[in-house]
Amino acid sequence: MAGEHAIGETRVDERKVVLSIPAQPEFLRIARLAAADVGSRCGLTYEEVDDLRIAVDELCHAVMVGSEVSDPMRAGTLEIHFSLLADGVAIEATCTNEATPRLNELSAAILAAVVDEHEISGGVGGVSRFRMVKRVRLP
Amino acid sequence: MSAGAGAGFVDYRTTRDRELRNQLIEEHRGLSQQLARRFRGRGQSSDDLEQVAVLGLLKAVERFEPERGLAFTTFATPTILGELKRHFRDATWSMRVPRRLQEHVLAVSNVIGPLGQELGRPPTVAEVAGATGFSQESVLEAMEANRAYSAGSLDAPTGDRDGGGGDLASRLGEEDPGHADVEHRALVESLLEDLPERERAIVRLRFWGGWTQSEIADAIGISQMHVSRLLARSLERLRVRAEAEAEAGPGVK
Repeated sequence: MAGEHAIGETRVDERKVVLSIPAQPEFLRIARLAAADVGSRCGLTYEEVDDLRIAVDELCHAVMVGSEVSDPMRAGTLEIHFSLLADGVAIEATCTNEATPRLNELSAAILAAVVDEHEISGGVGGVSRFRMVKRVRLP
Repeated sequence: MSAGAGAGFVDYRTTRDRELRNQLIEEHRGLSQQLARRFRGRGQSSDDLEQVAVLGLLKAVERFEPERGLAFTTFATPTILGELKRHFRDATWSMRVPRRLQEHVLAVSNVIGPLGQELGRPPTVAEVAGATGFSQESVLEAMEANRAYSAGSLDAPTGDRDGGGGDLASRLGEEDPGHADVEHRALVESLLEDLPERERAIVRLRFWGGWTQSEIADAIGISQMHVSRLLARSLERLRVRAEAEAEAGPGVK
């Protein structure tokens, strides 16, 4: 069926993994591992999974810049939604650390190279958001 | 080298028989053990050292050309020593990583290149798991643990096996980040300048040149996972520097 594929008996375009972690860099390992697992379930190659991990790192760090990451009480929470698409993975996140997300040009270039889509926004109600999509490239 | 052993190498050159190869390795295991012992007391287990030395021995067996008239031990000694030295340069864990996981990182690293060649495309995680006999979860753990594996100091001069450092950029046709049409080229340039030349070339090729990790790995003669490590460490270093610059003044949007 167009726009869908299956792993075993299950369609992959309706499932989602949600992860909530303190918005502190030392917790990003969990986010990278979750991204890697979801990416591999979607059929990304080993290198594409590594790209996805790089993107998760970049965007998660971008929403933490300028926040009180060393203070557990003020660091805020990062909630990450991993969606298994028919042709890849979409990751959307919100961060409640009341910081203004910043993406410098270096990060923008890195993200452009490793994922198909990305965007970041913030400041509204003290919540920052980002979104990215990485699609499967297998022949 | 005995006449029998010499005949074994001649046969192996022709047949590439795996059983014969293993027999040749066993016959010369004493040499690899002897060389491994020289590196004891430097924080690596004897088992690890002997494993690395055997890998060097295996390479020597594969490459030895008996018709050149050189004794095998003369040929194999620098190969084995080279493997041991490289191990010490590359294989230092920057944080405590369980031995089992260290072995997984090594095993995964060893299969990715050959598997990609066999498949004619980059392997998936499931395929890497199949080739190593690990679960997919173990492969993903190894991918994460790879970050904790110090691929030699970022500031260390690069060795011959890694393609050299000095002319790497020119040999690879280093990409100019200016082509990316970025508003803050100066910022990007100054950040990249903070990296050693090899890492700078790798970062540029990957993120501005559009090279894959495997393509970079092939070009400079290191593994894809080594490229991955260097990229992860370089990005961490760039991030710290970028945040410091942002604190210091404008330059980000």
